[in-house]
Amino acid sequence: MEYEQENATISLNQPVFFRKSFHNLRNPLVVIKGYTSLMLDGCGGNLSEDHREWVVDMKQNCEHLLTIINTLSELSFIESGICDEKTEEVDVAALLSDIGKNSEALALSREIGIKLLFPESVQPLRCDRGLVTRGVENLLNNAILFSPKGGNVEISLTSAGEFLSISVKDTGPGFDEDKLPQVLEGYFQGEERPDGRKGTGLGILISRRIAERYGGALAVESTQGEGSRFTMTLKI
Amino acid sequence: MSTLIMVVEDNVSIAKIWSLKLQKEGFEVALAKTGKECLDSVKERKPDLILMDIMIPGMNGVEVFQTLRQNIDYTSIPVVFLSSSVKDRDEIQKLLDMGAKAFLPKFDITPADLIVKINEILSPEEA
Repeated sequence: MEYEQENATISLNQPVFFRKSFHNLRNPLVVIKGYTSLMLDGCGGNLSEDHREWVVDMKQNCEHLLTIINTLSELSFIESGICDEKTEEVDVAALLSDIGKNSEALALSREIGIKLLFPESVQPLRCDRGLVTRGVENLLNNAILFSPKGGNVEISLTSAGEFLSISVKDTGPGFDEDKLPQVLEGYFQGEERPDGRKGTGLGILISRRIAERYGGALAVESTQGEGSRFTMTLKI
Repeated sequence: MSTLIMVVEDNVSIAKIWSLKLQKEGFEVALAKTGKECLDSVKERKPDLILMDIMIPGMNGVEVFQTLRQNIDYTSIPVVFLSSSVKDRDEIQKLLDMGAKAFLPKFDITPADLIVKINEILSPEEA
């Protein structure tokens, strides 16, 4: 998709164009979020109970919109392929341990247990460490945020032939079977999380795109009321 | 003399938000919309800390920082970068390796978070 502006052709897959556009989209929201934060901090005087509730609602919606913009921005960078520059050999088991450790605080705050299941040795994967981390983090954070208190999340790594599989299994609400294609397309917004917030659904699409980028795929198995398992396969 | 924080930010509303919170917390604030204004203002009175937006008109925030680092009188001023753009790990690490005290994404932090960070930098033993 292209359009003309001031005699210059701007291609919408240009990373610089996207970077600037997303920057310009975020700034007004940074202002709204900033003022709502100031109001809630009492900088403009005391708020009535109603006003406080409204401002909290404004701030949360603003943060939700920022999350959508950041996710779309991330997707555009993945699609543009500028991440190839940082390809290195990555020990995926070590990477998953780090990701698990980084999510411990979030899991603890929701009384969710994280279990890691790895084989003794796995071939290293040539990939962008940050990108694969992001793909797994999306799945793990969803699993934690959608699981009820006291739930369990399991991260497992297996190797078969030229593929590595990273699975994240949760004890969350699960999905209806007929919703699974929408989940992988990023169109599905599940029910409210136990913390009362809603997700965008787009994090799953990012994980899928990252898996596809490394010659693999993202699959989901789910049973409503019992939980889900998302599996990213990546070509070694 | 109170602690002076310089806010280098071309977006008037964002500059106002940071200033209101900083002043409420007892800091003195100097504003600069461009790199040139920042460099001129630093000569008038050296700030205790600079909050530096990266995308500003003319010299960008990183170039202003590098210019400041070339003058021995200003190398000790702690600089915190702020941006509305997403930076990846390597980009942030580069800024920290250059001597920046922190990188904060504007969309992730609140004015209260900013004050916590500034206090951590200015009085690390109390943080």
